[in-house]
Amino acid sequence: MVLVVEDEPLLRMMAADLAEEAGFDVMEAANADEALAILEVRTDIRIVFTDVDMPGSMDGMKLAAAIRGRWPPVELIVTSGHHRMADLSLPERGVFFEKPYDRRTVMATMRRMAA
Amino acid sequence: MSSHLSTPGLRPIPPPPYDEALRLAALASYDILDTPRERDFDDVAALASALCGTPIGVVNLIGDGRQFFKAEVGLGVRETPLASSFCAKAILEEEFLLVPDATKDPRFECNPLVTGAPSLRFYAGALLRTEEGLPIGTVCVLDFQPRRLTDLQQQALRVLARQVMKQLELRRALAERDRAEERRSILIQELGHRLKNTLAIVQSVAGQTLKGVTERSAVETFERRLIALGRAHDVLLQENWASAPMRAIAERVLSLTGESRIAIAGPDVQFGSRATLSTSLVLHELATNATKYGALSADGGTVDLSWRREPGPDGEDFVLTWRETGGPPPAEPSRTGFGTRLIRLGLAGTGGVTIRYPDSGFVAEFRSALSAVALS
Repeated sequence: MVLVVEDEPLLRMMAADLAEEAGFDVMEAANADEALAILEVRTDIRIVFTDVDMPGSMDGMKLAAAIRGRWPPVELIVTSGHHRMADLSLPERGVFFEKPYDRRTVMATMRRMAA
Repeated sequence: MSSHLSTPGLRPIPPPPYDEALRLAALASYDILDTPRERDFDDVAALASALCGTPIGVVNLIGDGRQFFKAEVGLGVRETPLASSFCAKAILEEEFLLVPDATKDPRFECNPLVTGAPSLRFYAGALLRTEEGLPIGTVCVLDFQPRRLTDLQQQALRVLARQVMKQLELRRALAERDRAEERRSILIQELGHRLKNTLAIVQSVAGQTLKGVTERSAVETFERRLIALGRAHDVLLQENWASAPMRAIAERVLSLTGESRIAIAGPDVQFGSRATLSTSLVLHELATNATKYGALSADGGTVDLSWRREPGPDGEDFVLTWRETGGPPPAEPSRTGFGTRLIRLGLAGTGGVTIRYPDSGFVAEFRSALSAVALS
C-alpha cells in the first residue's frame, strides 16, 4: 500500500495513478494531519509519497521526519517544485524527486523499495 | 535637573511651524537613530569642531524626547534627554542659530547645562532639513567659553549640514532600492515556483487525458520534454529568471538521462532566458536520441559536449559541439520528427546547425552569435 500526500488534487490523482500503475494499492491524504491519521490505523502502508509544500500544521519534510521516527519501516518519497534536494535534509532512506518528475523513475523507485 | 527646567523664567518654546508627528516620521525614515558611529559622520563632527576652533562638534538628531548624537567630538556621550539638553528643540527653529554667550541669551540662560556643569557658553548650529523642509537635527559646535564665528566658519557649518543631509538622503534611497530589489526577487521566485507547479499539473492533465493512448512512447516523450522544460526553468530560477550559466543548463538537463558517460566541458558563458529554454530542449533531444539510437545505446559509447567562443562575422560566436563516439554507425533519420526540427532550430531558434553522420558517431555543431544566446 502506498500513501500519497499532496494538497493539489490533480497532482494527488496523478501520483495515485502512478502508484497503481506500479502495482500498488493506494490511499490518499490532502495534508500531513490526514496522513498521520491514516498511518495510525493502517498497518499495511509500505511507502509514503509526499509533497513538501503543503498547508496545515506540518509540511512534507516534517511529516517525513515524524514518520521516520514513529514508523521506521515505512519508506519515504519526497517531491517538491519549490525546493531542490540540496536545500533539504531527508530522513534516512528517503528519496527526493523534483516536480515535474519522471513517472518511470518514480515507479521504479517504488518497486525497488517494496522489493 | 528637572527642577531647573520648571523654573519660571525659562522661556517657553513656541509651537513649531511644522507637524511634530510628520517630523518624527521623516526622521525615522532615514533609519539613522541609534546606529553605531560611522566615519562619514565622525569626519563631519571633527571637521566642524576644527574649523570653528571649538572643543565640541556634533552631528545631532532630535528625536521624540531625546537627542541622538550620530557623531560627536568633545562630548563623550551619544544621547541626552531633550529636556536637559543644550540643543533643545528651539534649535530646530532657525536655519542657522548662533549663540555667542548662552548666559546672555534668554533661550538658554536658565538651561542647566549652561547654569551648572558643564557650563556650556557657546553654541552655533546649522539645521539638518529634509527635502520637505522638516528639521530633524543640526550640525553644531559648542564651547565652554563665549566666542564668535567668522562668516566663513558659519558658511562651512551650513555646507557640512547640507552634506550630512545629502548623505542621509542617499542612504535612504539606496535602502529603498535594496528593499524594492528584494521584493522583486521574492516575486520572481514565487512566480517561478508556481510555474513549476503548473508544469506538474500539465503533466498530470496530459497523463490523465492520454491514458487510453496505446502508443506509450509518445506519451513518455511528451512527459520527458515537459520535465526538461521544468529543469530549464529551475536553472533560470536560481538567478532570478535573467540568465543561467551554460554549464548549469547542460548539467541539469543532461542529469535527466541518469548517464555518467556525457562529458561536459567549456568556458563560463551566461545564457539569456530564451536561449536557456531552447538550448535545454535541444540538449534534451540530443541526449534522448543518443540513448535510444546513438552512442549511449551501446556499452562502450560516450558523448562529448563542449563549447567555445570564437571570432565570428558579427563580434564573437558561440559554438557548441555534441560529439558521440563508440556507438553503432549512425543513420540519418528517415522522417523529420518534432525532435529533429527542435534540434535544427538551434540554440537561439535561429539555426546555425550542422549535423553529420560519420561512422565514428553522430556530430552536431551549433553556431550562434554570442550576443544572440547571451541576450535573447
